[in-house]
Order: sequence, then C-alpha cells, then structure tokens
Amino acid sequence: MEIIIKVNDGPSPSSYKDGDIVQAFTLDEIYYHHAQQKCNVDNFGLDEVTGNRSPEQLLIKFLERTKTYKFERLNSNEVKRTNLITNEVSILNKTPNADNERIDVYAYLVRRLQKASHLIFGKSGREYWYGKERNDIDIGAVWNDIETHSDYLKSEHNNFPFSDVEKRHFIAINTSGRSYVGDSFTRVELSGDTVHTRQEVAIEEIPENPSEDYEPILLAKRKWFVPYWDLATELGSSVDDLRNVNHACDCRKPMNEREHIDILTYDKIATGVI
Amino acid sequence: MATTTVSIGSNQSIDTETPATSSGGGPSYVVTFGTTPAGIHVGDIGFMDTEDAGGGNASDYTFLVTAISGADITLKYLTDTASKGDNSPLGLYTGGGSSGSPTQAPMVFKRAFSTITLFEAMIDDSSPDYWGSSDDVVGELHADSNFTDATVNFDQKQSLSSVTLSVYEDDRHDGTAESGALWKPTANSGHNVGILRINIDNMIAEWLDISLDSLDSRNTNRAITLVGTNDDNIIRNNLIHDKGGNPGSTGPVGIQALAAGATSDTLSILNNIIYNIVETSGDHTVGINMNQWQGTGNIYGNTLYNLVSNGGSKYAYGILFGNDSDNTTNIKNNIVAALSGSQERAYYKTNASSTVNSANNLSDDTAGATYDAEDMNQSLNDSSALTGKTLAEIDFVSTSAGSEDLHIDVDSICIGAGVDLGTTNGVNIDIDGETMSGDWSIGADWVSAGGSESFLAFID
Repeated sequence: MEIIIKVNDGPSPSSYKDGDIVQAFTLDEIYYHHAQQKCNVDNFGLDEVTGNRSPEQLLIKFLERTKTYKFERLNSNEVKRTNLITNEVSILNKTPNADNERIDVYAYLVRRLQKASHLIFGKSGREYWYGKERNDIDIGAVWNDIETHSDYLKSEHNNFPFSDVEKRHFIAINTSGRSYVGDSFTRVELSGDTVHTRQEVAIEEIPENPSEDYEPILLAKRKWFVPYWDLATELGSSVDDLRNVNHACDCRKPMNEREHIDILTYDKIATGVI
Repeated sequence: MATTTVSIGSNQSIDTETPATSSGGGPSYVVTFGTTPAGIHVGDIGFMDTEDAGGGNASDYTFLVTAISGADITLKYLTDTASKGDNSPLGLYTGGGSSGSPTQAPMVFKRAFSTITLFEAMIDDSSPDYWGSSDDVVGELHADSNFTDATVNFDQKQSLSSVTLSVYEDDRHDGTAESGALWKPTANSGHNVGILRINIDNMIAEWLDISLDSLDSRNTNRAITLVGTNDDNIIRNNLIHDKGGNPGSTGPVGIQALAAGATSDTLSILNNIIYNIVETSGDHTVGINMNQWQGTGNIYGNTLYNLVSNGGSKYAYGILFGNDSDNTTNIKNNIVAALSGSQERAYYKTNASSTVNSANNLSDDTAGATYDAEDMNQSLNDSSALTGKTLAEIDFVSTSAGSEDLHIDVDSICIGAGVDLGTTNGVNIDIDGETMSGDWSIGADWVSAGGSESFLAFID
C-alpha cells in the first residue's frame, strides 16, 4: 500500500491540510498501472498490408486477460461476440436482438480505423477487437505474460510512478499490515477498502432518507492524515527535509522495514481533529 | 492571459536525451538534442540531475516543455533544488568529466503529474512554481494507464484565470468507451459527492471518458457534480457510462448541478454521451440534472441512452431542469432514448415559471407523452421536437454490450434535423472532434446531411 501525503496547509480553509492523505494505492493497482504502460497500444505497430494492428503476442494476451468480450467480424453484416469470462457466444448484426443490441459493423469499424491508436486486428473483412475492461483482472497472470514476452520484471515495478514534481511537494510513503502467529508477526500487503478508505473525503453523516437533491456537507477535503511531523524516525527523513519543496521526499521502503498502517494513519473524525 | 499546459499521466520515463544546442535568453530556451526526443508532448517535464563542472554543488533542474517544432524543443526553466536559478539546459553538467571538460547532463522527460487528484492539489496550491498566478491552466490527460482517482474536487483555483481538464489530442476517445484516456475509479467517491466535483468558476471539463463500471457495489452515484460556484463552466465532449447497482439512498446521475449558483451564472453542457446508467434498487436515475440551477443553462447536443430507474414512483429522467423560477434553460439538439422506470421522463421542466428555450430535441418511443421532447412536463408544444422515434429510426451504430457506439448511422433521422447553434464554447465540435458545418445533426455526433461522415476508404 502506498500513500501520498500533503505537505503544509493549503491556502484556503477548504484546501488540503498538512498531513492529509491525498491518495492511496494498492499494490495490485500499482502493478496494473505499470502493466498498462508496457502493453500500451503505442508500443505495438500496424500491419503493413492491412493497416490493422499487428497481433503481437503480448498485446493479444493482455487484451484477452483484461477485456470482457472478443468481437469477430464474420461477414459484411455479422459479428460474433464471445464473453471471455463465461465463453457465452452471441451473433450480432443490424437487426436488434431481444436486448435491443445491434451493430452496423461496417460503420463501427470505419470510425475505429480513423484513430491512429486503434485496436482493430485481423484481415480486412475478418477484423477482430476486444471490448469492456474487466473489473477483476488477474494481475499476476498479466505480469507473467509481460515477463514471458519482454525483459520487464514485475519485481521492479512495486512503486507507483509519482512524478518529480509530486515527490517534492508531497511525501510518498508505504505501509503494511501484520499477520500474527502468537506474538510474532509478519508484514503483509494491504488491499481493498483498508487502502481506499484512507483517501476518502470527510463527509457529514447522510440523513436516513435524503431527497434526490440532497447535497452532502464536506467537512474536510480528506478524512485521514499522517502526522509525519511526529514520525521522522519512522519515515527516515527529517521534518525539515519533508517540508522542503527543494527536497524530493520518497520515504517508500522495502516490506520488511515498513511501519504498520495504524502507526502512520489517523482518522480526523475519530481523533477529534474535525 | 498566458496559457500553461501540463501533462497528467503515469509515464515517468518517456525518453532521455542530451541537449546539443540552445538559443534564447531564458527562462525559455529553444533546445535541440543529439537525438530528438520521442514521445514527448507539450506539458511534459524535462528533469536534469546536475552538478557543477568538476563535480559538487548538486541541483536537480526542472523544465517544462512549452512548444515542439520538429527538432526544436522549447523548454521553460521552472525550478532547481539548489536555487541556483534560471539556466539553459545546455551547460548543465553531470559532475563527470573534468572541470575543463565537463560532461553535459542528459534530460529525462516525464509527465508533470501522475494523477488528476495531484494536479488538482497543485491547482489549489498558492505557489506552485509551474504556472503563473493568473494563468489559464490546462491539465491534459495522457493514456499511459487508467486514471483511477475516486473523487477529484476542484474547489479552489486561487487567482488563476481558468482551469481546463482535458485530454491530449491523440489520446482523446473517438466517441466510444476505452478508445483513449480512461478514467475508471475503483473506490468510493462518497455518496452524492461526485467523481469530478467542480466548485470554481471558469472551468472546462472535456474529452473525459468516465467509466463507472467498477463501482456497482460502491457508494459512488454521480459522475460530474457542479457544486454552485460554476459560472462559465463548460462540460463538453465527455463520455459517462456503465453505472449499475444500488449506490445508496439516492440514485445515479451523469451530470448534476447540486446548487443554484447565481442568476447571472452560465453553465453549458455540450455534446456529451451518457449511457447505461442503471439503478437496481428503489431509486430514480437521471442523465443530466440541472434542476437546482437558477442561472442560465445551455444543454446542447447531448446523447442519453439506456437510463433505468427501479421501484415504485421511481423515475427514469433524461434531462431534469428548471425548478428555480429565475432559471433560463436553453435546451436544443439533444437525444434521450431507451428510458425505463415507473415513468419515463425524457425531459422534465419542474417549475412552470422558469424559462425554457427549446428546439429540435428528440425523445424516443419509451418516453411518456407528457415528458417527451415536445412537452417537457409543461405542455410546451414545441413543434420542432421529434417524438416517439424508434431506435431503428435513431439508428445508433452499435448498442451491443461491450462495443457500444452511439454515433448515428447514415440512415438516422437525426441527420440534418438539428438547429445551428453557432460556435460559442465549442458547441460546434462533435463527440469525434469534428467541426460541424452545414446542416446540424441531433445528438453528440454530427453527420453531414449530404451523405456520410468523412469516412475512409474501406474494404468491405
């Protein structure tokens, strides 16, 4: 789990405050960001004959693992849609089916092919493409493919790619959970809501039956904070350095050196800050 | 006013090249490199890790790419960590070599910001270094990887003249989902808060592809919210799509004005496509909700498709507006189709005392007669409206799950059926980025009435 923290109060009452957790990322999210860069369409060329995207193995595997559907043009009118999760197959054409689904495949493809970064594969008249990103991507399998077809290593892509600007105006840290056996523990990665709640907005409790026009009252731009000014030892950097915009603050550590999330992060409401 | 563009994306190693020549007196330098950098764009950062000739006195220099003309890259000095001050990139050294023959430092090109949230946090900052205090600032998304920001709240811009959240030209969607830079949150935004929340005047949000598909079990129920300080806001050419589930006590909305603003304020919602917004447990669903807005609202050229509410007395609204008697809504060239709910209210003007200027809107055969494009809940009797049209008549290119394409096909009745809306606020730029001319279409996509769009030669 990685966190990026605001340094110094913003200029307005509603601005971010010193120590606010601006964003938080799970390790899987970090891996996926890097995987998308490695498998970005711009890294793969076009077929010189058809002008369609060249079906290089890594790109095709990436799409098969990250998209829900594969579409294959059968003829001038029909498209075969395969759900890559369930293997359910449908034939689509200009006539609406029971779910009001239809497609004019010719018009569809003409527009896609106008964009230089299109992802249309195959021969003219037998094109295929992929659609709708999955919500439960097996990031381990995606990286297996990347490691098989490139020199990139998953183990070298454990950190979110914060920019230099960000590392000087904010503090990047990482943290861990603990898995106990008796009194001893091992540090573990955190995931899901444990991570994402740390980046939430502080909102007044919503009434039981609000109107459709109900607007929540924002108490603060962020609900959680890291009192980094008290954690110089844990973060391995002086407070002066952490607050110096001319000093890039990257306090991310290997897993075995990370502090527990409860040592670093605090709920402003629960602690009475707001 | 000066315009400063900064890039937003996750690519922090676009290219590394060594400066070869430099001209200009600073803070902007026209620089050529031994090899012309590849893949860089205006708004990217050039970073140099330097030391004095002969070594020592380190400083990290940051430059902003402000123009690219062939091999000539214009770089503006921004900061350096040792506060040495403005310098040309040519003549900054690695510390290697000798004092008499130092080694020129290379420049590493990166995106300026990695996430939309961190860009917004710098907009909120009083001394950001990267733009002038009264600039027009443009943040351009690049399709390096998905943007997963759960909620981004633009609520301060200090003394900036304007803020634009846009997408780099080559990374814009083509009118269909996942065809360019994709904003796909995976975590709660907060109920009724919004994924993109705007509370500043003079802001443009454009070319965003916002997918809510990962949020079916989340409390996120609104894509773009306008909080009240929204004078001269323009929301244009965006895709908003695929919200399902039950987000909580109130249902999903594509674009919503949460507060009234001022009577003199103007808010424009132009050429957006909003589709597959489906509530599954006891709530209304709304495509565009401007009900609270008391200023002027321009709702032009939007396409709304497949909006589904759930439960008794829970309605599927296309465009909901005009609750405040001071409100004037100009509503033209919109398509609302495929509604489903206990009532299907394609267009709903709430208060008879508010003002509406409507023309050439379309509702399909799912809309209730009282709430169609002709009457809008107020018996407007707009004779320019197209009502009761079938999906076959509207003729979207594709309504197939996973390959939705809500461009209109060449047989659509929408072609040539719109009213000319001029060029103000880019209303004449359609969802593909095409400039409309001649006869206007209804909806977010323009197709020339004379024939097909600018189709490529294509082997069928």
